[in-house]
Amino acid sequence: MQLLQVAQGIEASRIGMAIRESMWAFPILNLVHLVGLMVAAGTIVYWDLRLLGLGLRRTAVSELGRQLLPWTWGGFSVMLVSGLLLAWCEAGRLYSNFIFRTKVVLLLLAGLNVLVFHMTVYRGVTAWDRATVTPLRARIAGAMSLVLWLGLIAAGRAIGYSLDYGV
Amino acid sequence: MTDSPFGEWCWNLPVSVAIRGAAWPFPALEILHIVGLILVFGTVLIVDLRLLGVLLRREPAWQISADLTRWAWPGFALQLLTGPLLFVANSRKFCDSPFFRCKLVLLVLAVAFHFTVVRRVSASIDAGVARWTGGVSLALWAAVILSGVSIELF
Repeated sequence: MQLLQVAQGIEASRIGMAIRESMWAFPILNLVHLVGLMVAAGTIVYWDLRLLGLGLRRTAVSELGRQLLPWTWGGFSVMLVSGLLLAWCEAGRLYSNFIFRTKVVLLLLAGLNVLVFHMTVYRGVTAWDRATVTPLRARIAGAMSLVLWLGLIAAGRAIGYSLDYGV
Repeated sequence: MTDSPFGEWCWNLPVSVAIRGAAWPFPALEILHIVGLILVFGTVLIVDLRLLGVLLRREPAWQISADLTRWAWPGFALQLLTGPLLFVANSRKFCDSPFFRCKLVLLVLAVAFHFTVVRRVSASIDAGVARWTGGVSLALWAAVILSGVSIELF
């Protein structure tokens, strides 16, 4: 079976139908998605600025990570679940949508960036915990994350317009 | 058309006509508005959770507040710049939206609360006062964002 048919099957499924037919489900899922975004992005941006050595320089990196990242993951989980449900009800149309595809790629790249960062330079954080000039690899991870999230947000906003206009 | 003469006046401004002249300026302004919001809300969230005693308890609240506010200001400036442009470009809709009025009132309250209470409390060491201040501030800003998002969604 082709991936497009899978996507169309998802869209036609009972959950997909239920979200489309309900007057409130779609806007409420959207609202929840944006609340998740605010918590996730609001914490990510200051984490990235710390990695870049530009913000919260008086706070130890490991302490900030321990305190902030659970909130990031909480917000992100809310985004992921609501995002999947939002995509569920128009999966067939989104499948061929260029902006949606871009967004998925950006999301995977952002995940890869987090994975590489945590498996490499963050392992030795004790050596640069209080540094205001952070290691180059930490700065690269912070900058990549900021750029990728800007792209994710721009793509997210653009999907709504692209579906309205049928791009 | 809106019943409000002010809304019509905004709608017909050259800048509004220019923004509506192409498909991309309005979404681009929205994205910049969201970027500014993330800087502001990130600061609000972290400072208020610190005041609530939930986050970063080992760091003094004044220090967290000072280090974050430095980044919140450019974010807020970006919002003050893009917000009115978004408003005039789509003023017929905004003038008729109860959510938009809600948002303006809540925004004024949240900003006033920040300058009168939050700033002073962040510098003090009274944990009891800090707790309710953080709670009220977070609730106000959450309400600003929820009403703002609702203009578009409902």
